[in-house]
Amino acid sequence: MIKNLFKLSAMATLLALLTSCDKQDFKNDADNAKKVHVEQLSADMLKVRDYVPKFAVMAHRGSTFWTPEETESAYRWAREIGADYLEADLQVSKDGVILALHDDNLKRTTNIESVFGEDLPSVRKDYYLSLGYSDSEAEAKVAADKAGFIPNLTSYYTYQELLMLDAGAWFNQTNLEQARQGFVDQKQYISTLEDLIMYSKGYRLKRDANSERIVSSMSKKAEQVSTLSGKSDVVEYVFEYELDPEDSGNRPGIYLEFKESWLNPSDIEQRVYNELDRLDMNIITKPADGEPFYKRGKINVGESNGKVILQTFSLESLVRVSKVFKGKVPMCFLLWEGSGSTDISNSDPQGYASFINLGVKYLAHIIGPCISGAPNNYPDLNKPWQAYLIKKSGMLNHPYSFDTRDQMAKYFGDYNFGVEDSNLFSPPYLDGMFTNRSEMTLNYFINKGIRGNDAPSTVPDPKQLLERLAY
Amino acid sequence: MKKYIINALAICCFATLNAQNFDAEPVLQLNNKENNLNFSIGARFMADYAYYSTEYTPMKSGAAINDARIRTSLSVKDWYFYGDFDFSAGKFHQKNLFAQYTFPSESAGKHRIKAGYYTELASMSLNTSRYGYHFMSRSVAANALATGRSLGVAYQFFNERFTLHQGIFAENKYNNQSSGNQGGTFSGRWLYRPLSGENQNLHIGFAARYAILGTGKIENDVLKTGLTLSAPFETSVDVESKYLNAEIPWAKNTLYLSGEALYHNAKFFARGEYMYKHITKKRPDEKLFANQLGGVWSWTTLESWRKGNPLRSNNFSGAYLELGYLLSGGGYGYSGEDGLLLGNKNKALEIVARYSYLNLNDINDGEFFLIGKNKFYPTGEISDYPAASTSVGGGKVHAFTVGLNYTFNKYSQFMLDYTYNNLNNVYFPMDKNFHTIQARVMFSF
Repeated sequence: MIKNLFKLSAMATLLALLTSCDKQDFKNDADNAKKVHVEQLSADMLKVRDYVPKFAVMAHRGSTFWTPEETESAYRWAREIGADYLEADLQVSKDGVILALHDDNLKRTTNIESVFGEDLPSVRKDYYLSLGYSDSEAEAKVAADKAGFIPNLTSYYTYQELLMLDAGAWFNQTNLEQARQGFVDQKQYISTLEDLIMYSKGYRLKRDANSERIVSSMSKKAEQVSTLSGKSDVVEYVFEYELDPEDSGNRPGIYLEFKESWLNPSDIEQRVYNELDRLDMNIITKPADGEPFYKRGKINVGESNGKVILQTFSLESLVRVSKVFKGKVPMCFLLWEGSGSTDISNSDPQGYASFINLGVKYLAHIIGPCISGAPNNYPDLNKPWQAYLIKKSGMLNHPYSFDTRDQMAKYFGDYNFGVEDSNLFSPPYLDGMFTNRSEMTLNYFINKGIRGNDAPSTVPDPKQLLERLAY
Repeated sequence: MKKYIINALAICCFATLNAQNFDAEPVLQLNNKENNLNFSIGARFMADYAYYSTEYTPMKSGAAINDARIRTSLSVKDWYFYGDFDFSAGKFHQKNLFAQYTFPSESAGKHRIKAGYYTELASMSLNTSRYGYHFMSRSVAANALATGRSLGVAYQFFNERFTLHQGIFAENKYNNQSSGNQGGTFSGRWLYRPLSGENQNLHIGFAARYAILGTGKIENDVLKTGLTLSAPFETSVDVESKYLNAEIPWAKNTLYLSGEALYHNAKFFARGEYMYKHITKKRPDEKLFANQLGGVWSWTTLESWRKGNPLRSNNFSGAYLELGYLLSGGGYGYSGEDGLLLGNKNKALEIVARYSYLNLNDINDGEFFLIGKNKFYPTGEISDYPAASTSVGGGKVHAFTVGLNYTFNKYSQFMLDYTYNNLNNVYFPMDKNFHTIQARVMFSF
C-alpha cells in the first residue's frame, strides 16, 4: 500500500515536472505599494498641513523661463502673474547674509569671472577696514582669507562683494528668445531672503540714479557665522525698498529650500527662523489665524498661516528643521533619485515608503518628488503608486518641476483613460506644482476649475507683464 | 585470521568509498580481475518541483533539473581515479576530478593521498553526497559558510576510532585571476569515534580552514580583494541568494571553525554542525587616500580619511541539527573513512526533520538602516554624509524542515520536504516568512 502511494507521489511529481506552468508572481511595484507600511501624520501635523492651499502654484526660482532666476525680476513677475508661492534656495554669504540663490558656484548665473576672476576680491581689505578693523588687523584677515580661498563658491564672498555681481546679464546671453534689455538696465542682484520677503509683500528694491540698489548702512554685529570659508563676523546690511508701483495686490507666500547641509552653516535653520521672526513671517510667534488663501480675487497666501513653507532634500536639514520649527511650519521633504548623499537610491515601494516615513518622523507635511518629461528629463518619483503612498500618509504631494502642459496633464491624470487600479491610484497625482511656467500652471488649474473661490480667475499675459514691469 | 579480517575491512571501506562517490553502484562496470582493475561509468539525475509562498517578494515556483551528471571511475590496485561532470541547466559544470592513492598497509589504519579537484575537507555537510543526503538540500548554514570544491592535495588517515583529513588547496582552480596571486587554504577535519560498528556509530569532531585570499580586481591601480558569503534558501528550484548575501570588501584572510557530531543506529540518525567564520581585512589606505586627492572636497589627511572609512573584521555563524527515522527498509549506513552517513538503501521509507540557522548579520549596535538608501547610519541618526558603516547586513534565517523519503530501489528515490524560513534581513524588511513545499525524483545508475 505504502509502496503504491509513493509510486503515485513520484508519478505526480514527474507530472508536475513535465507540466509545470504555475502562474508566477513577478515583482510588481504597484501591487507591492499596497502592502508596504507608511506612517500617518498626526492630528497636529494635519492641522499645519492644511495651512497650505490645495493645488498651489509654486513659482520655481520665481521663473527660470521668463527671467533670470531668483532675482528681483523673477520674483516681481511671479508675484504679479499670481503664483501662490515664490520659491527660493537658501545660502549664506561669508558674512552671514541669507541669500536666495540656487547654485553653490557663482559662475553660471553671475559675471563673477570677469569681476573677480579666480582671485580673492581686491576689495576685501577695504571691507574689513569699513567694519572698524585696523590696517594690520585687516591685512591679517585678508591673508587668512587668501590662504583658504576657493574661488566661485558663494560662501567665500561677502555680501558686499556679491553686490558687485550682475545676476541678470547671463540670462540674456543664454536665453536669446527671452532676453530683455530691462534685465541689464535694472541691474539684477543676487537676492537676499529679506529681498524675497519684501518682493512678496509688494515692494521692490530702491535704486539710486545709476539704478544701483541702495544699502543705507553696513555694520559688524557681535556674533560670528561659520561657513565653508571659516568663521567670520556677521554683518548687518540695511537695505532700502519702496512700494512697487506695479504691485496689483497679490501677496504670495514664500517656499524656502535648505540646501545640502555641508554647504551652509550648521545653524542656518535657526538663522532663518530668526530672520522670519524679524520680518514678521514666523507664524510660530505671530500666527495669522483666519486669514484666507485668496481675498477679493487676489493671492493672500502670504498673509495666511501658510505664508512660509520650508523644504529640503537634505536628510540632515530635515532633522534640524524638525528641531527648530517643531512641525509648526509647513515642511516639504524633497525627493531625488540617484546616488548622491541626499538622494533616494532605492525607489521601490519599500525604499520609497522609508523616505515618506522619514518625512513623517521628522515632522514634514509635504513630499516633493521629481517628475519626468522634457526638457529636464528628471527621474520619475511620482508614479501613481508613489503618489498613492504619499496620499496614504496624509501628506501633500508637491512634485517638481513643471515646464510643459504635457507634464501637467500627465501628473494630473488626464492621460489615464480610466485605468486606475480600483481607485487606489486615482488621480490627480499632485496637490500643487513647482513650476517654471507659472502662467501655464495657473491657466491649467483655472481651466480645471480647482482654484480657490476667491483666487484670481485670469492670468496676465507673461510677456505683457514683463513689459509692465519695465524689463 | 586477523590479517584476513583487516583486508576484508579495507575492501569493505573501499567499496563504501566507491559507493560514496557513485551514490549507487554503477550498472556498467568492467572488471579485470587479473590486473585488479575496475572501470565504471554511471549517471545521476535530480529534478525538483517547488512551490513557494512568500509575503512580499515572490519566488519562482516551478520545476527544475538541478543535477544531471555523467560519472566515471577507474581503480587499479591501490589507485583510484574519479571524474564527474554536470550538465544541468544546459551548462557544463566542473565537478569532481581527482586521483587517490591508498598506501598498502597491514595495520587497521589506512593512509591515503588524494589530489585533484574535490570538496574541501572542513565540512561534514558538503562532503556528503546530495544523493545520499536525506534532505533535498543541505543546510543553508553549510552552503553559506563552508567551502565546496577546490584544487588541492590532502593526506587522509582513518581507522576504527579516527578519521583525520587535512590538506592544502588553491583558491582559484584555474589560476586565471586578473591580478594578485592564486590564494591558498589549509583545511582539515578530525573525528573521533567513541562508538564504531556495523549498525551503530558515534563520532564527534571538529574542522578548521584558514584561507589567504589572493585574487581580486584592480580598481584605480589598487588590488581589491573581497569575499561574498551567500546561500539560497534550502531549495534547488529558485536558487536566488539575495536574501542571504554578505559582501565583504577587502577580505584578506578567513578562519573557519566548526564542531560536529553524528550518531546513527539501524533506525535513527542525528547529526549536526556548528560553524563560525572570522574574516579579517587588509586595505592599502595610503594608496586609496592618495588616489582621492586632487579635488576641492578631498579628504585632507590620511588620518581623517581612515576615520571616515573605518574597517573592521567580521564574524558570522550558523548551525544545523538533522534527525532521521526509518519507518521501514534497510538500516542506516556509515562510511568510517570519510566520517559520513550514507544514503538510504532499497525500499527505505524515512521521515526526517531539520533545524538550521544562519547569521550573516554583523551589525553594530545602535545603527540605523534606511532602505531607501540601502545604507547604515553609524550614529543612529540620519545625516547627509555619515561615516561609512562597518556593519554587514547579510541576513539571518531560521529554517525548519520536515521531510519524507522513499527509496524505490537502489537506483531511484523520491523525496518530499516542507520548509519554513524566518528571515531577518534589513534589505528585505517586508519579507519575513517563507514557506516551501518541494518534491524530488532522482536516480543514479
